[in-house]
Amino acid sequence: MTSQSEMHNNDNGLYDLKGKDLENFGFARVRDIAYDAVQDLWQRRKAEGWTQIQVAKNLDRDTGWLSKHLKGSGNWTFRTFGTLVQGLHGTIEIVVRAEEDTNPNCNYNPYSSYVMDVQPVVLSGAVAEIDIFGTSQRAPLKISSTTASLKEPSQ
Amino acid sequence: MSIPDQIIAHEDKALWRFEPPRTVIKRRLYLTATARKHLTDPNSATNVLGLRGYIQSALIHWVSGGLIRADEKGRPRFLKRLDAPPPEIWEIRVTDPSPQARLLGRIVEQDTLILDRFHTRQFLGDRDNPNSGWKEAMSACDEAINALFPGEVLFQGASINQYVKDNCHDFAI
Repeated sequence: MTSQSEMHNNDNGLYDLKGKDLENFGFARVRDIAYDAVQDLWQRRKAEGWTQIQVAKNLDRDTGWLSKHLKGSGNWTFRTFGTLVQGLHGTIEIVVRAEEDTNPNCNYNPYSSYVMDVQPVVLSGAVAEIDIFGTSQRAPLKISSTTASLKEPSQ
Repeated sequence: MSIPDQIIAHEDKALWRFEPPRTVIKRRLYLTATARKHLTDPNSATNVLGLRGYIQSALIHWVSGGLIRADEKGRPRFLKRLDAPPPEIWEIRVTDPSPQARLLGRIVEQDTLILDRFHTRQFLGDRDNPNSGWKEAMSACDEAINALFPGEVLFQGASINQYVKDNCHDFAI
């Protein structure tokens, strides 16, 4: 059976990337994820009372350098990433999974209230003219969304 | 009819759900026919300029629940409500590639974004110039999304947290 997710993923052009687009996508994603992780830690450190001046001093950098790299990841290198993590007293764990091992099934599905509510449809009183083996029969017709059944007409 | 019901009625006809495979989805994203064309057509302005990969990354950042960030001065860096008129047009800022891109749309419910069109930042021009591309692009976006929900007073929130539930810096909108 086709799942809702598969149904909506049949739209090939939306997700297929090739060549340079794929490369740019991979680069942008990893940079985004790294930036989010550093921002998470920076927010925590700020809440603990840390300042950019202290962090910059620990790294022997000027605050302009730190401010620029906390503001955006546009010019980040691996060195920038590692320096910021160390400056914020963090540790790094990197996990790269095979696509097929990624499990998108989780308890929360934001589209769950955005799916067609499938209710059985019953047409009462409908009559179908059916030719069975050359013999015309009239029968009341009951239709649901997944099944159709015919009953003998009452005599 | 509720907003979800109206979206369902438009689905695969005027709105396309962005639900990439093998991705844990935490926020909803729909593309209008225009946005879908801008994303997939190799001849769209953003694709000709090689921005597709960066735009795709930004879309996945939104749907996968990525951080909606603001800088130290509280200025939004990823998702921003644009100054009216027209009201309630939002942009996703794709700022690192050159040229940059802006993805325009509207948040119609908490965590439900409809994107209508993608433009390069160059095309949009100077925000303070009344003859720049901003006005035209925002008006077209407003008309396209209003046409999907005729007669409906669309969602307006007072704070960013009413638009985005989780993983969002608290910044003024």
